[in-house]
Amino acid sequence: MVEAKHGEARIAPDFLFSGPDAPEESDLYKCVHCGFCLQACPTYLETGLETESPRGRIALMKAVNEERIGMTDSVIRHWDLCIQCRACEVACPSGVPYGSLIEATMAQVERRRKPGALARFAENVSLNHVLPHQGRLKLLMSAAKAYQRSGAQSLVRKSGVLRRLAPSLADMEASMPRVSSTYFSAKGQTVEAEGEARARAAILSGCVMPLVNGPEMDAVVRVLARNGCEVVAPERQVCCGAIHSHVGYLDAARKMARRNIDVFSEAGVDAVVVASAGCGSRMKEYAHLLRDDPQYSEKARRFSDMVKDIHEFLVELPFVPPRAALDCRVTYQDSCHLANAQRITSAPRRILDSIPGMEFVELPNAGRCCGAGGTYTITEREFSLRVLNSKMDDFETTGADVLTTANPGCLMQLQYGIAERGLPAQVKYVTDLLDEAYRRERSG
Amino acid sequence: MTLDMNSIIPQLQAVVGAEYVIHKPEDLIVFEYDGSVDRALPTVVALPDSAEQVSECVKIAERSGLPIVARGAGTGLSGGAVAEHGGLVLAMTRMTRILEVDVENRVAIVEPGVVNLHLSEQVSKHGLYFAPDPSSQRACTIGGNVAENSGGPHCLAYGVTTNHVLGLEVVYADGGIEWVGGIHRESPGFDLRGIIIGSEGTLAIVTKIAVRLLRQPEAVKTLLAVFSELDDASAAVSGIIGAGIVPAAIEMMDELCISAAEAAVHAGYPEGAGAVLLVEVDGLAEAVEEEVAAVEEVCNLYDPLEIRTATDPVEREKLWSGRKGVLGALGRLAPNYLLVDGTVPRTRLVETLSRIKGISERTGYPIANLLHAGDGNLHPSVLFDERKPGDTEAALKIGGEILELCVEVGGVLSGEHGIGLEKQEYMPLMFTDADMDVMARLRPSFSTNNIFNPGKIFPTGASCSDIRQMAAAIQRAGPGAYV
Amino acid sequence: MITRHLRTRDDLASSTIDGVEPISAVAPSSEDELREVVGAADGERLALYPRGGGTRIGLGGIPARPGIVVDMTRLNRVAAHNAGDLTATFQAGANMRMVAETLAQQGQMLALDSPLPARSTIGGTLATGLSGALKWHMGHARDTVIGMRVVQPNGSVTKSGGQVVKNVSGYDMSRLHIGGLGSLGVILEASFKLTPIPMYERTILASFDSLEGAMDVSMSVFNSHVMPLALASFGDSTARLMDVDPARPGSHVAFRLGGRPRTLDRQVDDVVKACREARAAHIGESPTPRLWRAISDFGWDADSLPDLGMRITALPSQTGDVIAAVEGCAAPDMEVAWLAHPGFGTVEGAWLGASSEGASAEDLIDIISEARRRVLTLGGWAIVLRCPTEVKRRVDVWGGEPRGSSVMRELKAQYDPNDTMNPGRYVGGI
Repeated sequence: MVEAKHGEARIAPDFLFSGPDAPEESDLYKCVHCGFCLQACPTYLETGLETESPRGRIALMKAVNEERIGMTDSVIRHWDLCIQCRACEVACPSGVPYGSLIEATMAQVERRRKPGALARFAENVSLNHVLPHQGRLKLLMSAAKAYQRSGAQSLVRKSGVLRRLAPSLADMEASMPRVSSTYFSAKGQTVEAEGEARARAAILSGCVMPLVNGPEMDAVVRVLARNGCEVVAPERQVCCGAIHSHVGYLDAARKMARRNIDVFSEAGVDAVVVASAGCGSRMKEYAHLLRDDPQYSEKARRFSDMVKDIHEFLVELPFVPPRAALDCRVTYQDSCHLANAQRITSAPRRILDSIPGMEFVELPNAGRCCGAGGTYTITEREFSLRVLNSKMDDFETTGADVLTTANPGCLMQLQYGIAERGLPAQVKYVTDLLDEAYRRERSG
Repeated sequence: MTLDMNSIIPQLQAVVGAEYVIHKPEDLIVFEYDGSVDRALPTVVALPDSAEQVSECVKIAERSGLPIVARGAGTGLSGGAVAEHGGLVLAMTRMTRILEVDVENRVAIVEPGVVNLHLSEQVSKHGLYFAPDPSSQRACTIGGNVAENSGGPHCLAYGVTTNHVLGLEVVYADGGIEWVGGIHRESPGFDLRGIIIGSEGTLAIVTKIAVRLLRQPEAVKTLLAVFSELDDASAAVSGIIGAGIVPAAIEMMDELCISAAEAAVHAGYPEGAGAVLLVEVDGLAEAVEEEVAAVEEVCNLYDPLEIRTATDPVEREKLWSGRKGVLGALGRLAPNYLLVDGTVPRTRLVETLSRIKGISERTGYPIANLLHAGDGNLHPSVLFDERKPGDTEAALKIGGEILELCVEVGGVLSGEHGIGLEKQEYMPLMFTDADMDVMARLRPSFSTNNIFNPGKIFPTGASCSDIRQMAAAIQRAGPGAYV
Repeated sequence: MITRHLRTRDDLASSTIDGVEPISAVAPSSEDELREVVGAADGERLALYPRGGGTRIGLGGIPARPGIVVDMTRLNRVAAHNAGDLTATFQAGANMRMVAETLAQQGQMLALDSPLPARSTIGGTLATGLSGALKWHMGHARDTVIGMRVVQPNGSVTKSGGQVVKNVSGYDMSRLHIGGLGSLGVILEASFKLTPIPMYERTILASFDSLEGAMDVSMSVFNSHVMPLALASFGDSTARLMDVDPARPGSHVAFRLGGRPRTLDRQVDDVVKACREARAAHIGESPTPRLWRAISDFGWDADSLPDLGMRITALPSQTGDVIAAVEGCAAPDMEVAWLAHPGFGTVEGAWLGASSEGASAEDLIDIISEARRRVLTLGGWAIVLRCPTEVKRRVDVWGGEPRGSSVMRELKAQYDPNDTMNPGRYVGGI
């Protein structure tokens, strides 16, 4: 399989894959380059370039694996541009686990990448030193809230000063989450089930979501309780580690995984319910992440089986269809980590369908990524916006006034897209609407 | 090759834009393959956006003596888009516009990079569709379909690509741009359109395609018949065709495929199923009812274990699920498979399949049979494990033996994947030197100067007729993927 | 050496093409004899004019030079009929009626309807490439051929394709010979995919006061779920020449429908309804075989043989405009008749002189150029199917250089370097 080495000189070892986190060779060669993934890939669809396709990225992995090429900047660039939406996995007839291949590849890239660039530093700080720690994150968020509330934000935006001084900072500012007035916090509290208890569920609080989407998290808890679930929020839980593994910090991700496994396993629950699609898919794949950890591999497998996405959990319960009606036209954007990684597409739609009075309209290309991709929206700003732009074009054809989705990254990205275009629409979680309908039952 | 790439690259960049010229060695790697096993690195890749740009690129390459390989999505299974001799790969994936849809006359003009399924999706609002439906239709381009004259499960009733293309705008080797055929259903002179379709990019580069669209059928019904014996299922296929019924599609799977599919998608086939037939009939509601009844009658003559029918799209999808999931599922039976693509007369299906079974028993390698049975197109898949020494060679040898068998019973080397690089050494099984010489002279007729996709279709061996060079030839063959 | 193939009863005069009398006429009785004739003619730089039943021998330009007429009608075997596989192979000289009868015994047919089947042959039908009314449903002649064997000008026999219905092995060389008017080689044998004969057939014949009504119903059926086996439209002159009597004068549309009982009923219902909606003046039924035979033969049989026959192709939606153009191109003392295949966008126009000596060449030339001028504005094209030799001397029957003519000339130079095959008769003077 290995052809003549490229160039005269041998490739330096740190340009090659090495160590336990190298992409699994047997997985790489499951790809028979049939090309079925091409039309599923948002970056390929935008560029028409094979270099920006799943098949192309795997070919580059194979070539590095075969030591035909090294991980040069240009090779890394193609991997960096992957949003990791994993739509290609769904399209693949050969069962290539692209998600774990790109994750392992990014870990290799991380090892080789020269640190020092300001952006890399900032990412490292926020991921390794802020996200895992709710306290530090909360502190940052408070500052952000003050910034937004004080009116300084609108001043800064109007003046355009930031854009002129530091365009990349301006990008980050633009996609800064709209900080909510209340935080959700996991303090070990238990929320009683309404009526007879049908299940006991632990809820993942997460990192960004409880701060940015505090009220929405509260809504999730209310919806669970309304459906007869006793809900616990274990206190010592941490961030799921999804964003870390996304950019190749696998060891950090493993550390968080072990902690969460311990914490949730002690909670004595029927299920660990996750309201964020990205976190849900990460936690369902803890077993893979910890497969080589003799102490945790078995525990991780058991834990992964307990993890349920909120929509999946509600439909399996099954949830009580609301009686009160909502008057709106709604559409749904599949969150990649729900549709592609967890293969859940019908549950959110069934929930939306169950709400009386609401008109559901299918979003064209609903399964195509919105461009959020965790930190992608910051690290690959230009491309992220290109992908978002196509998404907004599709959204405008629906005439919907509510755009629903299932993941905080998608929510923020879509909110940004709608604000940019000045569209008269709101972006909500599916569970927000269900909660609203339940609450109307009571008031009406 | 003494090429001044330092001068060629800027010239190409000036035509298509710097972003769309790929020349870094590590980037070229993603253009060295298509859906087949063959690989070869191009010298440079350009992505033109118009016929004029294609023409300019062709002129640049022609001046430099650089071979030109046109490429669609790279889903082909015979190496057609692999730059065997290096050179300029023209990837048409930016030319994705549907330029015109004439609903009344049911004609559309599209660019070659339009994805097959996208056209049908785009015209579905008018109740129309584009009939050729290769299994890769979600990814493959219409330009690629033209190059390989692609078929699909439904070509049994509706024909292959050539039956649905009215005209082509092409770029010749001298850069000249010309339409052959047009939007009309007939045109005077030699059928250049027909000769370019299926020529695997060796005669001209296609830059626009005028296609005929069909009206979506009023009704569709799918029938699934399960038999305990493969022979009964094959006999039922001949019985259906012989009874003068031409359904839209007849697909067949054998026992190995069934067990793989059952494990993967739980299609719910009954215990003891040795073969499954899937028959789809479409058209007027009355015609569908009457034909399915007739098909059922024929199937009942061959002792089926079970027959199910469905008209509802969701139910039909369930019946198809086993068939659609089967190739992905073959991995459950063995780590590798070699997929062969031959066609035999439908009346020879029973005999061919039983001889393939014989080959399997004699060699000890399991062979799973998946067939577009309605048109006699076989896809036997030889299961093997490349990690075992000698396994790959043995599988390739069996593949060659199956192709020889197909030709022996009056069939052909390729039903739908094309000759390309994969099967060029087998051409002498079907054609004499004189036959191939006549074919080969098409290239000078198009004054290609042999720059378009050189080294394809025809055997490269010094002596074409030496079929016993099979051992070397077989090395070229390899696993295809999807049908 | 060639002379030993001469048929003694052959009358050279009957093999005359456009006034060019052949040097000799031969009728080979075997493949080898044919190869020998072709190879020898090529070697001796003699022109060769293949001929089937002679029904459409007038198609094309005037032969460039006298040569040998090769009568193919003795090579007329059914090489194979694989009924269970719906395929068959015939030698080129096989007679179309014999072919139809052979296939009908197994309930099958070849979706190629040529005029005068008692005389016309497989080879001639393919070489002229002019599909009949069945193309509506079954497609062009080229869509029915799955394989072909051809005698090359040097006398070698080569094949392409095969005898299976699905095949992408090698270039599909038969494409060059279907509609190629024998200008690259002699079709020796062709393999076809066959069609089951429908269980039942009926033909609806509707008459409309206006051409517009006839075209409206044609397009509405073209774009409906009903797929007639054939659909043709014609005017009163045509009806009279075909000896068909529609109950009302006007523009007529014939629908050939087939299928199992309920399917057929449904098609008849839908077609009748469409006719009513288009305000048909009369809707009736016509005996299927006779009407469609007359439609196929129109313009070619003795009763309707015109002084000038043209075939015009445009888009289906332009059929009415083409018909109007045909009707508008008449000279005094001439009768114009038209037969249209609206789903295909083709119209055959026939101009017949009233007097026994026929129309003047001038008049016919005027008609041709006027028709072409009108058709050109629609973006279509028009070939002359039949006209007096005098007219051919002054008019290009093919209507000038088609697109791709330089490649076509290269093909000719490649495959027939000595200009042996049917010289001067094909497009662009090939």
